[in-house]
Amino acid sequence: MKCLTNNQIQQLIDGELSANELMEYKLHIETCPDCAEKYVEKKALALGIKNLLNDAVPIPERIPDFPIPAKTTSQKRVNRRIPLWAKVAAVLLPVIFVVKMIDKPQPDFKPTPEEILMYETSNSVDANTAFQKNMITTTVTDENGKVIKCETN
Amino acid sequence: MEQFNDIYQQHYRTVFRLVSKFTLGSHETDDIVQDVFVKLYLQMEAGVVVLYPKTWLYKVATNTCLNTLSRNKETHSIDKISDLETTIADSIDTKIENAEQQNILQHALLKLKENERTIVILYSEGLSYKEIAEISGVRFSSIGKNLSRSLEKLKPLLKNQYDEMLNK
Repeated sequence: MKCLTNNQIQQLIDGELSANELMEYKLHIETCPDCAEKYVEKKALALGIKNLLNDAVPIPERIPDFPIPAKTTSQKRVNRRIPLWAKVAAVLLPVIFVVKMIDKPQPDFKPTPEEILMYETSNSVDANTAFQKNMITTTVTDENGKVIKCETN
Repeated sequence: MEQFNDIYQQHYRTVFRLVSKFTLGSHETDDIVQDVFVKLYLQMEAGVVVLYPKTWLYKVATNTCLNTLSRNKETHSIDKISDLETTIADSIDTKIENAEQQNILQHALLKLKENERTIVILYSEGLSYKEIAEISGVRFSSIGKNLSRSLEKLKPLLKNQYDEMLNK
């Protein structure tokens, strides 16, 4: 068997092993002086630090009376609770809004022949001159695809 | 709240000892302990059933200590020195010795990472790896490795105290 890892030695010290592992590791320690030395050192270290910590803290001689917290604390909690009707409204209102938006009838789009006309305006307007001096060319395409040019000054 | 009173009487010293290990000599110990029991009281008052009060108290006390310590991190060392000075000025020899001991321990523990410190303190309470994992949030399979590493880190920092104790 390979030498024990620090983790395995620590588990052995703390008895955090299965019965099989415990037997296997103990057997190894009996035959391996390196692991045996490590085990003794680590065991002393664990116990030493446990004791140092436990000795450093005081243990109170008497238990003080527990000061019961004022009722206001729990009262505040009750007040902070959201009422059921508000919760229901918070869920239902957005749902109703979305449903209304989806169901809203779209207006029928029936354009007249005049509305079908496509307008294309190509103007070369010089911004530095008076508006009246610029020639404005408007190109109109009717429903038959005929292009009509209109020029205005 | 008879049930609460039983838990309070039964676990007060345990919680006090645990919190003291985190705060080591700080005047905040009493406040934190009280805070932990107030939390339990409010839980029970609200009708929450606390199945394992000991584990619950350990967990809440650990988290409260870590939160308080991280909040006071910057001012802590200054407080500590002034606390120690006050203690030294006011105390008899044994108290000075104890305060010094706590100061050395605190400095050593503060050198560890937060989860390593938590594991060492919970370990010193005699908890099993399973309980330590549950309270600290560290994976159960990593407890042994973390613990071994943390104790090795503490060894040179507490060398004098450790040798003194071994020679006793």
